[in-house]
Amino acid sequence: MHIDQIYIQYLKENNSTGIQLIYNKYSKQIVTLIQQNSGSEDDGYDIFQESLVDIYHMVNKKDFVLTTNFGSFLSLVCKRKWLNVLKKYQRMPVTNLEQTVLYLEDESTRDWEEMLETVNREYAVMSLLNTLGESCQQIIKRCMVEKHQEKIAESMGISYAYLRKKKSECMASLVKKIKESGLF
Amino acid sequence: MEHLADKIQDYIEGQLQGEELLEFEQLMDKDTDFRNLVHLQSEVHEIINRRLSSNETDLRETLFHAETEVRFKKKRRFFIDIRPFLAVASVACVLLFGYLFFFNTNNALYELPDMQSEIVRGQESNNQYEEAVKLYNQKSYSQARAILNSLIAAEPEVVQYQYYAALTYLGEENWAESKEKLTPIVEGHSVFKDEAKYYLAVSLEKLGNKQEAIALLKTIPAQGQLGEKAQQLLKKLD
Repeated sequence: MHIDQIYIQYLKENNSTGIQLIYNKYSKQIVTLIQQNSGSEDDGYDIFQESLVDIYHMVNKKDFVLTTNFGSFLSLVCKRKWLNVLKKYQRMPVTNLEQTVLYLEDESTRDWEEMLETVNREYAVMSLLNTLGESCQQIIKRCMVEKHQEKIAESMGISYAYLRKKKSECMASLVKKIKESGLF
Repeated sequence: MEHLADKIQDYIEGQLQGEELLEFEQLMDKDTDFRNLVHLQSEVHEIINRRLSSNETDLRETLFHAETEVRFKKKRRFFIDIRPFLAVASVACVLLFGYLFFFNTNNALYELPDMQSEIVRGQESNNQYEEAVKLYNQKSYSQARAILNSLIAAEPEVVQYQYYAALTYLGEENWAESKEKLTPIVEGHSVFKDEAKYYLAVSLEKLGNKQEAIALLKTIPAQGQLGEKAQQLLKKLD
């Protein structure tokens, strides 16, 4: 285990002091990197934040052991994320960035690639969920989090049958959007 | 396959039993596309469940504070720099809405939504609610309302009945009555709150209370079809 595993722990535990340390230590270099590759300062901070959220989900999914320094790992995640944005919006080519991102150093990097793919897809699913209408979002989210659907229906002022029907429809329209996005 | 497609969510949640479950699983065995659809929806279900169970919201709050702390030290030049851009963006928004206003018919803004059935296709139902659905969607508003009113009397806490009953007045262009019936729904906390706001705004506009309608439309969240519709109506009224 690398000594920088502590940063992973900070994220996992939502340790505010540790997270501030991560920002103080790494945000500037990432923002600069994004700015050097067709992005703005805002883009840089967005990518930095979203990458930390991705890492958080990666480490929560399974035991995650850092085998290199945190800076290199974070940089890879950020580059990867930014490359996806550039491809999506077809901004100017970023050959150097692409080369460094696609260059796989070792087995552990390859594992990360797979985990990042998964996390990216999850992120995209949640983003698409947030494009649904307010009532669909509310129904899907509440039905996932709260287990007593009869009570959800009651608090929403709808019948249980209507809730179930509506949830099926909302899920179907989300899945349709996901299929159209070509994510899966 | 169609009526079973409605039951995918029930299958994922383990709600299908007996004959229904057997029929569903047989279709999954036979039909690859259907099986893939079930697997996809199941994966999506799992992802949402996992994400919502995580403490991402709390983490984001911490990240936001850390970012503010780091950026606060920096000069505020950035905000000054983007001012001209914001002005251009505002103009672009105005032009976009103008385009939407002139090139789209306004009829869709005043159309009533279909009344939502409660039953899953393939199942039989003869309850009062389904009869009201049929009548409402055929635009037989007073007959639909008569049934809905009896449902309201039996279950006054179900806002769904009140909402559609209120819309029947809109269907009849009885704006004063639709305003009266929609107002308590807007003031409540049901899932129909935002939709009721929209149709209350329509009623208010028709009654000549344009400013009230505008104020109400501005409180509707921008996401989804309803949000888009509200923005379009807002632009039309502004």
